[in-house]
Amino acid sequence: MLEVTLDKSKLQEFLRLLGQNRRLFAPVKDRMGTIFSEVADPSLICLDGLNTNLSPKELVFPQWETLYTFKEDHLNETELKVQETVLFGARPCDARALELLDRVFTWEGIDDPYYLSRRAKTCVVALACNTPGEACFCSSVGGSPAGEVGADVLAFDLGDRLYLRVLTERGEALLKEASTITEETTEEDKQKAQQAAAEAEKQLHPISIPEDLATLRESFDAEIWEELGLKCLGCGTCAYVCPTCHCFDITDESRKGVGRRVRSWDTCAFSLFTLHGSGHNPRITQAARYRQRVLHKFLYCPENFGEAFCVGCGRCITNCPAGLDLRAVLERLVSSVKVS
Amino acid sequence: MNQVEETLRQEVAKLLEDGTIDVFVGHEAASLPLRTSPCFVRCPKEVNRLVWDRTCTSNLAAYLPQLFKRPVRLKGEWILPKVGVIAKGCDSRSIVGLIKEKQIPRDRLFIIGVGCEGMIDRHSVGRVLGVVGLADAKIDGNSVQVIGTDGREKRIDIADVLAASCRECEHRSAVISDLSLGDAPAPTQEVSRYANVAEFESKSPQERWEYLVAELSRCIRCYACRQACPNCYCEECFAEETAPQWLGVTTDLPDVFVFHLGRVFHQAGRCVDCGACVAACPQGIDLRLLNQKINKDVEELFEAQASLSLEEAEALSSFRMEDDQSFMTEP
Repeated sequence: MLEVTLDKSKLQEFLRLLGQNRRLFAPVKDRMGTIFSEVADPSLICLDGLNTNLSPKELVFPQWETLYTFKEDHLNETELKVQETVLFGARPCDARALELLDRVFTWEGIDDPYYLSRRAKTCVVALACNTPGEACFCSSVGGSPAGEVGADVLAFDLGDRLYLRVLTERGEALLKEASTITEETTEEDKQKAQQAAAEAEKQLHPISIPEDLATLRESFDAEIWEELGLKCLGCGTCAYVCPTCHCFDITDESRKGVGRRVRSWDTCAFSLFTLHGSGHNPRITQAARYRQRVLHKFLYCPENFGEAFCVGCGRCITNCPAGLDLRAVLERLVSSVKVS
Repeated sequence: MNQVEETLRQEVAKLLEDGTIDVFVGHEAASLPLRTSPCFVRCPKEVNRLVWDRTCTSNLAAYLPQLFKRPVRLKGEWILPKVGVIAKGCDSRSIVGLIKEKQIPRDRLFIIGVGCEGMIDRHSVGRVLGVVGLADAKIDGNSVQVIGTDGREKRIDIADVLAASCRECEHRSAVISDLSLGDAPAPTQEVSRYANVAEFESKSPQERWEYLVAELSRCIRCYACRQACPNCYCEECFAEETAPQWLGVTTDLPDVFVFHLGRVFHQAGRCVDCGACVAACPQGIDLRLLNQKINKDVEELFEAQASLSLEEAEALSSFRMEDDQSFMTEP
């Protein structure tokens, strides 16, 4: 596959070329660090931050969308008009999360047209990490600061230039549009990128992840959930900043027979999550709801999709208002299960 | 370890040992620098988890009602647990509010009051660091030495990264306690209260609208503000009621405005300006402004602040003939 180098002085021109025929989403500065935004002016882009405060999943799985509108018994399905989009500067963890979401929205042969229509038109240029963030643990959950999964192109920041490695045909087509300003990559650049990735990986603090699904199943009645449930405030922050959380709710909004059906993000942390119409709730305590969050990611997803649904981006840790740290919870699970 | 922390641990160990309390709600160090997490200590051996410093931001009152939801079986009897809690000025006022609103029983509570000189606001520290993360930090007197994930070190004056509520706080010590670990020294500078409201009120309606739109359009409907708020204990929030449905589930401005304005009005005369909502917000929204506007109105109309004592009636749950009635109009 194609490999090119881009002098950073030409970055803006490069992005302008990529954005010619598509929407350009990239990190820009925000009061909370950086955030993905549709960028009309490439000079606003900021590649110095690590993870954006919110994940880019919004791009393919928006917080809410209208599935259809209705008037009495007449339905109008929402027309899915999706523009070609390039997601530039997503970190490898976020790119990998998209690949995990793909599995959910095509599960057991049932395709989700809303998600897939956006995903099919999203080209991901991931940016490898040179230094990990304060809560990063990608290498402990099967990722890497230079991971390629889910990306169409992987870029390495070499200081004054970017080394871009094409991973898919879609990525190759994208980079060809800017071929006038990219150069052939040297062996030296490739080696530098390799070194930077290895260096970043060394700086990560590995944690133990409970991988034995049988022992995780046994943890269902473990004591630790009780205290975690007391600490957990029951807000949706962790799930809403998470790049792999994908639970949604469906609500009808109507007045006098006219309305719409809306799909919106949901989270197991909310007390209304899985509350039945009868008033019964199978997860009546916050402890049961917090357990659901952890076991869904590390037990049920491996059972259903073959992999844990956590990419180690650390957003749930940096943003939790109660100071809960998923890494510590996982390590406690490993040790408490071992003891018993 | 500071003096307050040491005394706190000793006292809590005694309270647990002699059976005065079954559980103590305090702060413990979280894994990230400058963060703490609420903790529930049930045995004297665990008191060393408890910390007290300039990062004990959580309003612990919010964690109390859940402890009284279910009776515990003790010596063959079903009774409510006895709960100890450490309370700075704002926590103690929220506790007063919750007792008055009958959400927690006074006779099952043991309150350890503590003076507070203001808590560090993590969002403000984040703004000093810019786009990089906080790798490490060490508090040293009135300043904090921070190291960014880019390896750069900076010394920050705590006064420059105090939570906005703490800057304007005039109730730094607990208003109610069973044991006091000391009061906070009076602020060195005169506290200018409602400075943000005054600035907001001086703007044109158009500018005010633009400010609120800019702030609230950041909302992701995670409800962290509501969940961190001791006053938000409703079993079912109006925001989630379905019959009638007061607002939709989207992040469109009308839905977001109805949620936040609804919450503000439900706080009228009850908000103690603890700043828990601001600290909890993952999007760094200025959630304090409108609550403070209402607090200012209540203070001007009724010469009252929320939850300062158990005895005095709250402004909006009592009636006095001399109350301002200028808002009433002829039919």
